[in-house]
This record gives sequence, C-alpha cells and structure tokens, in this order.
Amino acid sequence: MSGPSTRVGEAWRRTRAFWLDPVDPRPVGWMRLSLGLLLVATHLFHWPGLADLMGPDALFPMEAVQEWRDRSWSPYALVRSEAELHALHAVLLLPLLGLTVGWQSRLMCLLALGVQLAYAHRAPLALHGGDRLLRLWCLYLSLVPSGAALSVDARLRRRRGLPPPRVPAVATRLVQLQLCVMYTATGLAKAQGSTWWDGSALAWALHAPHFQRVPALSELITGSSPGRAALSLGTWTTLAWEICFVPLVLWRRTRTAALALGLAMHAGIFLLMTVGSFSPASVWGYLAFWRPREGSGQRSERSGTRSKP
Amino acid sequence: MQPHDAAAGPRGAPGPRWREAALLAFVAWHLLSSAARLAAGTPPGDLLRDHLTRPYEEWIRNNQSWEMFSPNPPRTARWVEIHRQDPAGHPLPVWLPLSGEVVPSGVIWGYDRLHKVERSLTGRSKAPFRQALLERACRVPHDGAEVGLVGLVVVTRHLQAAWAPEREERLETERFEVLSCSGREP
Repeated sequence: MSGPSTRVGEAWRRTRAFWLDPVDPRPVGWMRLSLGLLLVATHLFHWPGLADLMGPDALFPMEAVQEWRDRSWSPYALVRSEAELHALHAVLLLPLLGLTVGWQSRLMCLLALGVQLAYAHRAPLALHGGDRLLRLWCLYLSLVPSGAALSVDARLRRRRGLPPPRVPAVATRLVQLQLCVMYTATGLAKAQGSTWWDGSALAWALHAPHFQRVPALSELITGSSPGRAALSLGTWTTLAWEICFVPLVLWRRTRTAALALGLAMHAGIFLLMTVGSFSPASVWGYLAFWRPREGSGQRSERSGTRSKP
Repeated sequence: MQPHDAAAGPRGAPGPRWREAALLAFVAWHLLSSAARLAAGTPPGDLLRDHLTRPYEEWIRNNQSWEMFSPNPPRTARWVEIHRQDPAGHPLPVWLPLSGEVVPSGVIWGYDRLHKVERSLTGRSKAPFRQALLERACRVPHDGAEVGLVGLVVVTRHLQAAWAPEREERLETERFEVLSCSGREP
C-alpha cells in the first residue's frame, strides 16, 4: 500500500514532469520565429498613429493613464519631441528583430515583453485582445531557451561545439492552458447572449461597420438567405467549439480536427473583420500543440528530447 | 538553462533544483493571478486581487478578460463628440477628437486604434481619459475663437438589419462630463 508521503512524492513527480520535462525544441523555435514576425508587424502598424497615442502631445497625457492605473510607466512617456518618439520606436524594434532571428533569444524575449508593456502602459485604451495575447506569449516564451532551434543562437552553439540546451515544457504548457482558458471563458460568456442561440451573432458581428474589412462583401453575405444560413451554422459551431474546446483538444483523436476548425474560424474572422492581430495571435498558440514525429529532425535527436502531447 | 548541469534533476530537465523551484513558483504565482482575475467580481477573486495579486496583474497587464462578441456582438455603432461653446455661450461646431462615425468602404487593411479608443472611452473607470480629452478640447482653438465650455457626448447608432425588422435604426446621445475652460464651475 502506498502511504501519503508516497502519493505526495508521486504528485510532485507528475507535476514536475508536466511542467519541466524537455520538449522538442523545433516547435518552440517556430513559435519564437513566428511570434517575432507578429511583433515586428504590430510594431510597424503602430507607426502611423504613434504620435496621437504615445507622442509628447498624445490625446491622453501620461498623467491620465497614471490616474487610471497608478503603477503605469512607459519609456514612451519620456519623449519630448516627435523626433525622439520615432527614434525610440525604431530602437524598440531591435529586440523584436533579435527575437525573430533568435539572437540572445531569452534576453530578446524579455525585452520584447518590455516593448509590449511599453504600449500597454502608455496607450491602454488603444489595445485589443490580440495585443493582450502577444504580451502573454512573450511572457511565456521568455521562460524557456526559445533559441534552441531555428536561431542564430543555435547556429553559434553548433559552431562552438556546444550541445543544444534542453527546452522545458513550461512555455508550451502555459500557452496550451491559456488557449483553453480563453476559449472556455469566451464560450461560456457567449452562451449567455440571445444572438448566439438564435443564430444571428455572426451576422451582427459582420454587420457592425467598425469591424468590416470588406464592407461590400459583408453586406452581400449578411443580405442573402444562403449567406445568413451559413452564418447561423457558423454561429452555433463557434459556440459549441469554444465551450467544448478543452475536451476536444485534450482527446488526441479530436485534437487535430478541433485545431483545424479553430484555424478555419480565425481565418474567416481575419479575412472578413478588422480585429487587429487577434486571429494570428490566437492561431500562433496552436503551435504549442504541435509535436513533430519522433526522430524526424536531426536537431531533435541531438537534444535528446521526446515528443509527447 | 545549462544543458549538462551537474545539479540537474533526473531526466535532465531544466537545470539546478533552485532554478526549477523558482520557475515553478513563478508559474504558480502567474496562475494564481490569472485565476483571481478570472474570478473578479466574486468574493474569493476580489479578496485575492485586493490583497495579493493586483500589483502584478496591473503591472504585467494580465487581463484575463476574454469576452469577444459576448454576451452578444455589438448591435450599435458608437463614437465620441466634443460639444463646445464660446465664452458667450454660443455653440461652436462639434469636434470629433477620434475617428468619428465609421463609414466603411473599399477594403480596410489596417486596424483603427483610435476607433478602439472611442469604444473604450465610456466605461466608468475611464473618467481620467475623458477629462484629459476635454482639457485638450479647451486648448484646441476654433478659427481663433476662444472656447468657453466643452462637453463630451457619446453618440450611439442602433443598427438595423434585414433579419431583425423589429429593431429600429435610431441615434441616441449620452452626455458625460462637462468642463469649463476658464476653470469656473460649468
């Protein structure tokens, strides 16, 4: 019979294995690379409205932000001229590029998180769910050596004859958990709305002028009976998929289909609606469920890691 | 993380035990903060946030609010107007400090962050931002004329759709703060 101390020991061993067992570094490498690209794109898209939102004469002074959240601090609040503002924005692009190519990956990931916080602490009202996800992805990825594969770091290490670092599962686990929380929370919140049950929710979402990417197409879809029928089906599918995301993704047999459905849903949102980086930032998280086949890569073998769910 | 650390645990995962413990402690803390944020508005959630996790949550902006298009997608369009009067009380033209009403056409490639601000500005906690906008409105001259009084108005257009004939398309205005530019009570 196993005593309480054995059971505690076993629970600790399982907890430790869940969070810290090494994983294949290649998916993490792809996560770092694609996150870097997303962050660079977001940073560049900030540029046209930069002065209005974060400049020395921005719509909202830093004092207003600090009155709202007194712990707010951002390097953007230090600029005294538009030239300084653009210079700072250019400098803050560097760690995002560093993260993308995987040079000093851990440090660059932390700095990239700092850049995301710099926006959030200066122009909080201008940010959306996609920005929130990108911030969390930086935080999670900074906990592991994300430059173990597909990076300048990995190339330099190979040149010096050093073995690749082991990548603990903690970042991918946190991303998986975050997606589960996000979809479940939004699914349960939607279940309280009448339009998600009567099938009109997606039609309303497409009908809102501030979300329309191609207004003529949105009106064509929402204005026709087949279009509305498809949107009703999409509404109910979205609701069911979000509420059931956790079991669907936990069960190995339905995981691929669940993620494929999510990919299709986010592709539809991205093509038809302007919701910032929300769709790509959500789909980015799906990489955390990707497990390359055992032994399918030389680097994976060298690092001695295992593929597992 | 050193790959071949002498103090690495069995299976060689991330390194010395103190580093493992620190990593797991941070994960536990972050999960606690996230759970507290998710449970905001409930007694345990508020207790945790008020006494423990709020500084971290606010600093890292760990806002676990995932209510996209819920409970229903927006069935209104909303924008901010600044109504101004000169010192004699004569109305000046309305000033649209942000994007104004969105009239979509063509293909929209980017994301209008100013319109996002417009939609975020009406919450009760956002009063400091509205005040800042009014103070700015006092400073923006109108054809050289001095501005005496400014007021922030949110206009809401209730959208109508073919599939919801019972809904009428109508405009609704909601007045928020008013500010006297001279500093006197409005």
